[in-house]
Amino acid sequence: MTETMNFWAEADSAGEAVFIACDALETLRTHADADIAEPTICFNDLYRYATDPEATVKEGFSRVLSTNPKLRNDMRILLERVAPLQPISRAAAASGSTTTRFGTGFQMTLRESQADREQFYVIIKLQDQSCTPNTLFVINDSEWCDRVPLPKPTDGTVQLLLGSNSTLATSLRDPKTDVFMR
Amino acid sequence: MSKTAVFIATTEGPTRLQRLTAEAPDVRSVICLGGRAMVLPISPDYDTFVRRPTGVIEACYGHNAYRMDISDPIG
Repeated sequence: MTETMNFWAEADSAGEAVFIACDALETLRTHADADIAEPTICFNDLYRYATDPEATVKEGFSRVLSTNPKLRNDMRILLERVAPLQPISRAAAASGSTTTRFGTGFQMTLRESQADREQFYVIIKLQDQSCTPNTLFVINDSEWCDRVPLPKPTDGTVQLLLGSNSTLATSLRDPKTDVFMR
Repeated sequence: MSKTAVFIATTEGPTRLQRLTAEAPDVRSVICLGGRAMVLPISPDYDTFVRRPTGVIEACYGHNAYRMDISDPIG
């Protein structure tokens, strides 16, 4: 049942009443956020996410995957089993406009666009040109996990163009991020 | 501001060429919309038009990667 509060009666001044009302509103907001139900994730959900790019995932799945370190680690272990293209070395700390990371059968380079320094290309060179990955998985050690559909390779090269401020761009520039493809 | 504008005739109407920039040689040529990070699906065909062995642009001008920004989508 909703309790009615009279902030004017409790406060000595209008300013204090506004302060009390704002405090109450903040408390309500905090409780409302806490009430958002986290979806229950089982192995089947992780497996479908890792292997079927068309599969729809539960509401909130991506949020839980990004924020739950144990789940993210499970996803990493799963991808090590099912993704043919895996990281070998991590990107060195970004020192300039180019960052390169190496994987089993691929090399990924981030290169700043000459047309707009706020955008950069993700260039994935595939060693085996018959290999056509369609999904890129990006897992950060501390806070993020996502998958991105890839365009078809042209002469063994897959290329994306990203805005520097996008979440994916930020994560790919982070040396603590690993990439998988399948 | 330039006194010259270049338009490309398309079946959907004229598209203005906003910018043409030489990119690093390992970048595939792309056509983008309005200066944004939005690559149009016609880009692989543009790359084929630019890059050797099929591309005439590299043969004529010696560089193999360009980014073209246009005002309206093509294709």
